[in-house]
Amino acid sequence: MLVLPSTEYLIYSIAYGSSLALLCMGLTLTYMVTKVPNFAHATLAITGSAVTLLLIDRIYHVFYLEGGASSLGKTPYYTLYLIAPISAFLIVGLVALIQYLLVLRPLSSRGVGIIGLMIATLAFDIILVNILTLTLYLMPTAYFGKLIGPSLKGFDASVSVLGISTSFSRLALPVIAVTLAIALHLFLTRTKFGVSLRAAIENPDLARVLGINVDLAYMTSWFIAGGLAGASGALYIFMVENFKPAVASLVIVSVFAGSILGGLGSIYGALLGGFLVGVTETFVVVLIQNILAAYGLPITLTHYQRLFSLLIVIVMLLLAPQGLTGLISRVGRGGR
Amino acid sequence: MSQPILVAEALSSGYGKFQVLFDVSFRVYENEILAVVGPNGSGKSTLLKTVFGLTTIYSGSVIYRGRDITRLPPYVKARIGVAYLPQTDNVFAELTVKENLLMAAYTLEESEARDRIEEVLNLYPVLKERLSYKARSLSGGERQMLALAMTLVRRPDIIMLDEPTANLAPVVARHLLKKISMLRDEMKKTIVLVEQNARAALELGDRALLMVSGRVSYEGPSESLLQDVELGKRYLGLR
Amino acid sequence: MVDSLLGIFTLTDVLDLIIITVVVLALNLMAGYAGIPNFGMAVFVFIGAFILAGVGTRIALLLASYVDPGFIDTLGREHAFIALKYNGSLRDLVLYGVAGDPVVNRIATPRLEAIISQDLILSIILLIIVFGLAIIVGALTGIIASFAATRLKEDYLAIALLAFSEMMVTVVFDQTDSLAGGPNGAWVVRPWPSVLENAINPITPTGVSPDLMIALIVGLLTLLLCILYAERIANSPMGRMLRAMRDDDLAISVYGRDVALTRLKVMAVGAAIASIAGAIYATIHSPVKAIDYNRFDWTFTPWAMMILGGVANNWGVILGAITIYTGKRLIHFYMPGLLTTLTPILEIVSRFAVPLVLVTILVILLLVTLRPRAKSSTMKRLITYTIIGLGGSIVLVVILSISIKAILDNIDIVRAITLNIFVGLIILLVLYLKPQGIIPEKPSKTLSRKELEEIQTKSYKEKAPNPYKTTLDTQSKEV
Repeated sequence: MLVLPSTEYLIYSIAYGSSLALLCMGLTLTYMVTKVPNFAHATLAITGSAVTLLLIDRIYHVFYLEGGASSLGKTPYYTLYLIAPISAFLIVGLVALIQYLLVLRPLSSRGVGIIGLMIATLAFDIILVNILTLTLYLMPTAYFGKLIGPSLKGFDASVSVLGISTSFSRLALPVIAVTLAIALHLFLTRTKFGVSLRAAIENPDLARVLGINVDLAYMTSWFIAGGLAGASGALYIFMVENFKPAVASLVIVSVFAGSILGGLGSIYGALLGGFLVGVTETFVVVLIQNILAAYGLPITLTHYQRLFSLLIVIVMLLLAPQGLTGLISRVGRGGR
Repeated sequence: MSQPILVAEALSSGYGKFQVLFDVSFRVYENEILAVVGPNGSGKSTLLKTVFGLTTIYSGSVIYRGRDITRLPPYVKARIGVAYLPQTDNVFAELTVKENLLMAAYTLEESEARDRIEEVLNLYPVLKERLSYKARSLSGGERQMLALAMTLVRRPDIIMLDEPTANLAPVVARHLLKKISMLRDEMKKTIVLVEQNARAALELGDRALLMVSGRVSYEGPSESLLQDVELGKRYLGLR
Repeated sequence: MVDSLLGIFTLTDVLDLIIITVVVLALNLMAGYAGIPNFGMAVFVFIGAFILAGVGTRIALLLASYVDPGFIDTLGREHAFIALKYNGSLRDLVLYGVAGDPVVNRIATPRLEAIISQDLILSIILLIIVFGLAIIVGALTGIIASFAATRLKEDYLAIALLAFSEMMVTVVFDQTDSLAGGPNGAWVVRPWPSVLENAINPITPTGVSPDLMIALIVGLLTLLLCILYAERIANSPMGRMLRAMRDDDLAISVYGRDVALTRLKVMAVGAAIASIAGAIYATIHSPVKAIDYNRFDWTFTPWAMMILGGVANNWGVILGAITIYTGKRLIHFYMPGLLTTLTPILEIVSRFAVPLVLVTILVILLLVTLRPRAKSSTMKRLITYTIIGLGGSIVLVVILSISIKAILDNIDIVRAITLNIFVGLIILLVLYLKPQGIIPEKPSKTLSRKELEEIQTKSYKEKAPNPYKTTLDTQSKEV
């Protein structure tokens, strides 16, 4: 008897896919700018999660609890779902900018090659994760006893849609992901500055001759990439059981998988790839597991979720490193 | 004869320690086409790059309208009217034609940018049809025209073209060269044209510069060079 | 434990140092000589550990039941966990159940160990099988990685190897209980015959287990062999050629097969060595849990040690390993004391924190505005370093002074965090100060002027790179 995963789980899966899509867009963007895969990208997202955590701890716990200090109840709490991603966007964008200015740009101009730069991003990742952990450990809290390891699931406003009960963050994530993706697209194609970003990324020398400030373009790209990661992390935290900054080291591989699947030269590919990987890791895995169970092979596959994304990484790199967009454009050009 | 608008004096340059140009001097006069010809590896491309500031200059100077521009960075030179169009990578492949032109007009005021782009599109109507196409889907000739258009947006004084007809079919090449001569005739631009196809360049050019092994072998009317069978045979593959 | 060496190294620490040095040397072979950016080093080490804990224990079970058939039954009856997985069939036990319950396992494995070590033949068989497998599987994995290297360009290769390592260690083995105990890990049956343990006794200091001594000796031997091999590679003409041609595709296509073959050999040997190191490490650090073979300790830290020491320089990387390891031990040992001593000072600072921070920020701003007017580039660099130094110290002092009490309360976590940050900072520092210390890969777009000139000289005759690329000489200061 085939049991389909519940609609609730589907919603969760779409939300997770959306959060990955945002992360992959940012990763691909930084890769296009600096030609280096940023191992610290997931940690940037987690920094965004920390923003939400602190917001709830300091401010929003009041609005959430029944009979809290405010008699307004839950309604103002919903502003969290807007304030958190926005603040996270700005803050993490800044952190990403710092990574570019203090680590990648100076090292790159000193002649460090790709591998060295990759190691530098790994080093930045280590430092960022640990600073984050340290801060969360030592920061005085208003509500939570400890800022490491709380589950925010309880703080996610539960919502009922068409009879399906889910949580607000899971509805908000796809909306935010789509909104940001559209905004990014408009920015990159309809504004002069945005087009100059694409130009600077593609051919910085020509861009420079035309008077475009390539360095500003790079900085803006990194800021945006960080912002996307932050926004994603800000809501992703509601889906994590036991939040600690080290969670990032598990997510980064899925992000790579998504970006590579989409093709590291295309932001739209990243959007697609990230979403696909996210949905595969969750919904598809459970679906396969249930199919196998229906056939009498009860294997728990959910533990091996990340195995799928890791396999995607390896298979894609070996067989089709240009990703899906690369394959599509090859098919497209075949007609010319 | 009008005044030279560009004078190169005793230029010696190269790439790092590898010297390519040896004591090169020449002049470019207003509203002429100077054809730079010579065998492979003679330093024609390097000449343009040196004037534009993309090589290591050991000695010598470049004077543009009386001003020493030798050590100015390329983007400043572009701003003051010296344009350089390399053979490849001269457009943004992933951007559309319209976006490319927009970028070419990056430093201009919005209304001025619009006007100039309009102007340039009228010069090259084929681009008008391809406005929303990505540059990489253009044919070779179209792409060169786009590159030329992008240069013209900035209303340069002197345009240095590095083998613009390379890899183009003869028909397309001829068309492009015609467009180039229009630049001189109708738009009163000054052109420095490096070409592998010596005959076409010399026929188009007013004066010619023959480069051999990094030195100037001849500077003068291109007609004379065309008729000099000796030189033509030895260096230019002219029959 | 016995204190030796400066009072901060226990003998176990010494073993750890030996092991990590072997691993770094192996990494140096792979990355420095074979030119493979191995971001998946952890898996090679883990292979040895797993073979000991997963395969070795199963073989020990088989061997033990051969010698003492009643042993399994007694064990099964006394200890519930085996009953969970032991349905009377030894085959099932071997295939499905090795570990899972840490408490019971802790009791069962020493009994196993006792049976094996009493019998010289059995323990030698176990020894050979375990270490032999470690070498073979390790080498095979190295060869696979070498093949991957021929198909992928370097950053993709690095990611692929990282993904492979993560996949194996943190997913497959961590999640699959029956392989090696899953998250709880599997205990190790040490394959040393009791004859050996008795022979060791005379030189074993009091309070130290003979297993540690054996591990130390075996470890030292491995280290020695490793150094010998690495030096042989380094000084051989092949080795020099490998180093010189690491990123020169043209040369490689000329010399082709010879180079590829040597590369393969170096990878195989390097991987095998790492695997052995992992096995030796596992004999002391039981149970073997996947989490202990994580990429920070076994990939990232060795990379830090390697680039500190200087890539492709064997003695350099040994020095790098010792330096970083000692640094970590020093921090570990002295940090609590240091903080406690500094507490009164820090408390004073915390009272003046705000004005102090403001003053420092003003100084930084001053330096930032002065910097462009600096006369020489060394002056500029000095100012930059001062700015960074000041900025860093503010952050540090602020963190410390605001929560010195909280820090002391959580000193273990804070210490671990400091160690991690220490390793990360070392990497960044080394990269910044001597960027040539890293594997010279295909030239990136921005290079030192010297390299740029060399490359342009080489490539002048071929198609030039982006025609708008400038050489540094003609760039005047920004107009």
